[in-house]
Amino acid sequence: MKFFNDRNRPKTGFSMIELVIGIALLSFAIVPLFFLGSRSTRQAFDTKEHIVASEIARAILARYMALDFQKCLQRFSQLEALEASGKIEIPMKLVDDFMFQEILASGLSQDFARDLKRDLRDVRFQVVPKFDKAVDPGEIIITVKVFWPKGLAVDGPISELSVESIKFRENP
Amino acid sequence: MSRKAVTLLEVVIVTSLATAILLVIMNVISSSQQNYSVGTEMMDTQLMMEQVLFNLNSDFKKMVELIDIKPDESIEMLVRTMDQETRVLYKFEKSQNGGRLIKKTTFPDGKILEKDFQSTDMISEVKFLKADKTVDEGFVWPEHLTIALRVTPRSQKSKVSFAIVTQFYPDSLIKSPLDRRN
Repeated sequence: MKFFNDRNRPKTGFSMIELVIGIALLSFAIVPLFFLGSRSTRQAFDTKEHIVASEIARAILARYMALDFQKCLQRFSQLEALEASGKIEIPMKLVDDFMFQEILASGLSQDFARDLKRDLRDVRFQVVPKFDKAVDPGEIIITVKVFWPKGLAVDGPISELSVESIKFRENP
Repeated sequence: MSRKAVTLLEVVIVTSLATAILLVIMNVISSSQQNYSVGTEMMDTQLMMEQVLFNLNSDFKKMVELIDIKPDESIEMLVRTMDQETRVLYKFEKSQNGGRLIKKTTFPDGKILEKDFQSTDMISEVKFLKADKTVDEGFVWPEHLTIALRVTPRSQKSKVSFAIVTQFYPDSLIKSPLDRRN
């Protein structure tokens, strides 16, 4: 059944093809809307990851700052030897660090342990000391770098955050 | 240019197409709102983590006391603030499975703002662990405190929860900006 037969059909107005083209254009226009919501969520995730990484970096730096100056130098020599012998891989995985191991062994609830493993499983860190090896150094510049995958893809781009401090011999 | 007007069939087809597009738009708006809600929850969660860790960092001895209190006991911690007149008090009530954190802010005009993270929008679990020394690959690390914090928004729309682990060492010279100023 036709609302208008060909005889009664008005001679002006939009054709079917014009309407379809119009709707198709409108469809393309709304595609960017899809990305708005997911982008805001992604940004919130990124902020959270930065906070987690900065806490890890701060904790590891605090560890070295709390050490006696000579012991700190010993630790850096030990790390160098361990890396050269292939016993450790640098950047190190956070899950292999004693900070992570200690807390997991302390009897966390199942959900707590699951979240901790999920959030930190791909995080790595590296401690870079800078000092004059030729002389007995009076200071060490310690940089802690933390790496984590950006987004959900493990093989995707890597984010990096670093904190730095100077450790003086006279103020161990 | 003359044009033929649409038939009923054409009207039905176009209306169906328009309805389908409208449904897609509504779906996009709905999921966008949901995403925004998830994003807001995450922002709140990370803000809480930041507040707790930042304030705990100010006093190692106080943090050690936190471990020594028994479940169902509580401890209060006064936090220094930028303007020196506003008092911020964190009250931590230890439970069997973690803790409950209450932040009480007293402003210079006497107004008090109390926020109970557990009863409002967050559920937090905190695990404190004190180690006198730790041997790692033959190396002895000094006394330290390890803290793991897990925060879950109460609404649970997104089932988002975050966990973080960090350590504190006495006399590490790593202080918060407020401590550095004082």
